[in-house]
Amino acid sequence: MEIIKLERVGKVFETKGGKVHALKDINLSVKEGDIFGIIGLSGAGKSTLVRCINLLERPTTGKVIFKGKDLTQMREWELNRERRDISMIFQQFNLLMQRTALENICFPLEIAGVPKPKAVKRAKELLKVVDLEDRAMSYPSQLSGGQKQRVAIARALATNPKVLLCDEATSALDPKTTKAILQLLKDINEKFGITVIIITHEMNVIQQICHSVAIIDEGIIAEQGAVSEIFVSPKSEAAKRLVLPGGNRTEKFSGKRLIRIVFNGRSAYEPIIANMILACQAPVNIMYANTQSIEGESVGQMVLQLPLDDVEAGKLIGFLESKGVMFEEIEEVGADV
Amino acid sequence: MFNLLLEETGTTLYMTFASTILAYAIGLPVGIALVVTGKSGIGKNTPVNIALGVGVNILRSIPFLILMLALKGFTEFLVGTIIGPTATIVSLVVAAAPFVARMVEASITEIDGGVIEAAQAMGANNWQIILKVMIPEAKPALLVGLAVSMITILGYSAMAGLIGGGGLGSVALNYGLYRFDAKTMWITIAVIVVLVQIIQELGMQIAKRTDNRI
Repeated sequence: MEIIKLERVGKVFETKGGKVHALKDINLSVKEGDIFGIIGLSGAGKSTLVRCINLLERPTTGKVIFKGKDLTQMREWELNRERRDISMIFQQFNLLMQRTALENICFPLEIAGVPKPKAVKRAKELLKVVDLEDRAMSYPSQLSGGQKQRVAIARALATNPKVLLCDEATSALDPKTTKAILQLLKDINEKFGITVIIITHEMNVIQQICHSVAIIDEGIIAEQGAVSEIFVSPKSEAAKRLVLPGGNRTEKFSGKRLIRIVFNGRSAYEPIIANMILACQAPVNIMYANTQSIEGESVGQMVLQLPLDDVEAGKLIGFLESKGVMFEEIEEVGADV
Repeated sequence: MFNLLLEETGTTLYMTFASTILAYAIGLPVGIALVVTGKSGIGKNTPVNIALGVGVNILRSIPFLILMLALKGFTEFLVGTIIGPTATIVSLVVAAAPFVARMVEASITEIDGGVIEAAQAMGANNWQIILKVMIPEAKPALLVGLAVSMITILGYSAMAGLIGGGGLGSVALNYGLYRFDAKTMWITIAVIVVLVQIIQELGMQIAKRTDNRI
């Protein structure tokens, strides 16, 4: 079930300025077939974390368990063999500049000792998967950023890996290309059943394709769970900062009674606010609203200012409770962020 | 006169090419070893790196003429004589190999570290990284370095003429200095200039043609 498990992984870098604890105590498990996002602000340790999964960085402490085996205990050649099952794509693509697209895709197969005709055949198939059949003979310098990343993805798939690690794979691309690349990763996950682990600093990347997410902050996992859960009710400070990017807008809200309503998939399609106003005959002031589509479900939040009158406010709250809408009262301005 | 120049140009080219090949036979592996064992190398080994670095620096700091004289015994042991082009090759190789090593080191260091990281992530071992990533990716820079090294060796070989090394250097010395034959000396210089130009241009053109980054 679990394909990758990190147990108490820590990483310390020795620098001139002393020891830097990039990762402190990381516990993480990724299910097979999942699209798992790891999000954090820059400097949170996410790049170090992803490099600890395939041991490009050796963890100072802890275990990295892949298919039940601890990678940190393996000899060099054993590790190299396992690495064929854990592919990686990068922000800067890291293609071989002196090789054509086709030759780049053949490269991991050459390393694995696959005979050339077989490797070329496989590379051509993969060019079809990433929709670049016509660019087989192009060199990376002749390709656009999105095309380079497609070649890199094809190259990563060449050895039929079980896991695909994506280190900020879309951060160097424009929004439209980002979307297309993410869609491609999603298709690959569905078609080939490859577990995808995505490192990013962009919430919309997580939102667009991830099922599960872990939030990393200052070298620890602040929170992890299903994407829809964390979007609806972020608990940790780090999660709130990422999920509610417009959060500091609450500072502008005035008035005594503020409530934050959270919509799950069901209630987002119901005109719940309008019904509430009609039923209670009391006005509300919409201070902030934001809804988005997560995995086909509409998820959103809204901040309402209630009337100062306790009876009217009580009626409104009663209505929301009766409808099973999740909400919380925000006692003070900015209290939730 | 013409025949003499032709013959001695041949000798110079023989010394240059043979020394370049041998200097690369030693300098290329040493240069790669300097990168691989270096601080951020794929096979970090500080003692080996320091030993190689110091060795290279010592050889590079000895002026060529002094090195040639110092290597007299070694040359005689190796080729049985200390004069003539073949004897000169011994000193040329010893002088040029550390230079070549530094050229190779600089060329390979230029490669983007991300590409090497990607190869490691694919499960490539260090030999595969050297042979399939480092050398092919650094090829254009290595070719430019080859032209520079060859020109340096050509210059050294002319200097070797001073102590009986043969080639164009000897012609310039014998005719220009000892016989006050300025004309022959200038012709010799012209031939050397032309050779340098040809090697430089050829090197640059080949490097450019084979570079797929442009």
